[in-house]
Amino acid sequence: MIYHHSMNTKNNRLFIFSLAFILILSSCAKDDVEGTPQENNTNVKFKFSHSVGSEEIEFNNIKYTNAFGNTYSIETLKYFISNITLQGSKGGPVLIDEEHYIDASDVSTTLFNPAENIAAGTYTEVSFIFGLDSLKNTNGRFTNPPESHMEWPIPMGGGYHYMKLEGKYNTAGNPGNYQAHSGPSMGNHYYFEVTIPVDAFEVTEEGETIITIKMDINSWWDNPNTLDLNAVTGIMGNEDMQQKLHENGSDVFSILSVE
Amino acid sequence: MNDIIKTSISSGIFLFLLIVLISCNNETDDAQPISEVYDPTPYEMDIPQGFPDMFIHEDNALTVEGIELGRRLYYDSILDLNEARACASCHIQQSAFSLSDENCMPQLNLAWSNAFLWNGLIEGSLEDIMLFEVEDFFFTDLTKLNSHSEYPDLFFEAFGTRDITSKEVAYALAQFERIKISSNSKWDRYLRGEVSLTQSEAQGFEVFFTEKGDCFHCHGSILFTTNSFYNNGLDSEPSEGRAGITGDPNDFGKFKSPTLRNIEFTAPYMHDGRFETLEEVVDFYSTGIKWSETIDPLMKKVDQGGVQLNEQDKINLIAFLKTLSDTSYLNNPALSSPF
Repeated sequence: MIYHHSMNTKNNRLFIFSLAFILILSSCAKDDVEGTPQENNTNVKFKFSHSVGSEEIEFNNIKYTNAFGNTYSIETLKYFISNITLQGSKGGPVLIDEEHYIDASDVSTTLFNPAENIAAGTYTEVSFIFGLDSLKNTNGRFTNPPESHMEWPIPMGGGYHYMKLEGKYNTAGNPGNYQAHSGPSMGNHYYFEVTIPVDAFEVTEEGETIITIKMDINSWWDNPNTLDLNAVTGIMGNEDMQQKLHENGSDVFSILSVE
Repeated sequence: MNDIIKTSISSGIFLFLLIVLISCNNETDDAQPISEVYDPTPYEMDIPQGFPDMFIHEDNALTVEGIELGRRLYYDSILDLNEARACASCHIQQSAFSLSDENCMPQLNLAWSNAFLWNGLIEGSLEDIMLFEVEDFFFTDLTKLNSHSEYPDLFFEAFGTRDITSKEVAYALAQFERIKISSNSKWDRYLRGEVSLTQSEAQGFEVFFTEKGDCFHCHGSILFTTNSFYNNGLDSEPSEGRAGITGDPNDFGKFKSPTLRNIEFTAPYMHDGRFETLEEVVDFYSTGIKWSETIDPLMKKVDQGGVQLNEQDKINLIAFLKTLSDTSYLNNPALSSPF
């Protein structure tokens, strides 16, 4: 092979040069057609904002007070939103048949850019599923983290958590941990649909509309069920508590802005 | 006739010269048996069913030669400046590549990790942690590798260069680490429908995968770890842990959640090796947890010391944990010493 190599150096050089040239040409062509891989850039984006009252949340600080009177902190907030639907002023609703995982501590997850453009027009209502509906919440749907770490184990019904909201609370000097983990407890579904009317807004084919959806964490703890965080622990198999969170979730979300 | 003879003579001379050339060439080959053409054999990675996608470094594609070189280096104390120890001195295959009298982390399924060591000192890929081991742990003397009778040729076969730098050493080790996959435990065979669990193992599975034992939040999914960092309540005044790397006081006492696959073979347990047996570990999570400001919010019933398992629950849980033992991994000859 050494022999072969030395005898054909010139030819090899020509060959390598040609190959490099072809590669350069083909890579240029590819760039022209497909561009470099990047996140899709469609015309409507959803931004997720997390607050207690009107204040953006601050992690790891026992500074919030709920209706029951617990002071508490937020350390973890991870959840799924799915099936976002925009209701047009005329024509049928536009369904975005996707789910999106949000980790409030990771800004790369708090902006959701759907795969496809939304039809241009005027829209007056935003709705979505908090969590995953029964069709999407199936074992093995996610094999990759972070979504796979939302698993809701089979002995408790299987599928994935809708939400992990965790932190510490303090009641009369006694500290404790709470875990508001909601999901398909014992095979029953506690996801819910959120429908929020908004002032009519325009979506154009070329423009960029950003809809900011706000979660007020304090709203999980009351209306209609006032919750003591002392009881919000180990609740994954507690269907009574799953139902209470389901009911309390009705006023947790609002539309902060459409820009 | 003359023309024919001339042609024959010409052909004969040509043939003779050719033979001489070829024989010269053969002599050269004898002196240097390694091919000068860099043509490594691609290694087909078989990702087990249900495992996450594997990150493979873009300029370190797996090759048979690269993996084999990585294996050899792993078992060779030439990596160590003083040649006192190899990787395998502290990572014994029979102990799932951990060490029974120290608390070094086991090595399996690390291809799915992106932060290494108990406190996550090195973040990134296997190439990053292996570069750290070569340059900052072993202080490898590269001149020894470069002047070795065999390594330069082996590096050429794997990476197309005889000029060995820390990068190639780390890349070879990373390739070997990437194929160290454990996915044939009794639990895996149960998931594939090949075996049944005993009643005790099945009940232990329930303890593990419900909030009764609540093991799964940190040790769940197919990898039996989230690869994240937690303060699991070992001490009321936790040690620095992850905070020593991030500088964030909220990270005090946080350590990497290790995989529980092959946990039967990786004693002692915890970052400081404080527990000798699985029984001690289960007792700790049951009644020994201590409150601190940075204890993970997943830790339940902290005021009672933990999840309060009864004796039968503990026995069942340990029976389940032992279904994660994969002796085919411990005995896999492709991962054993080549020497």
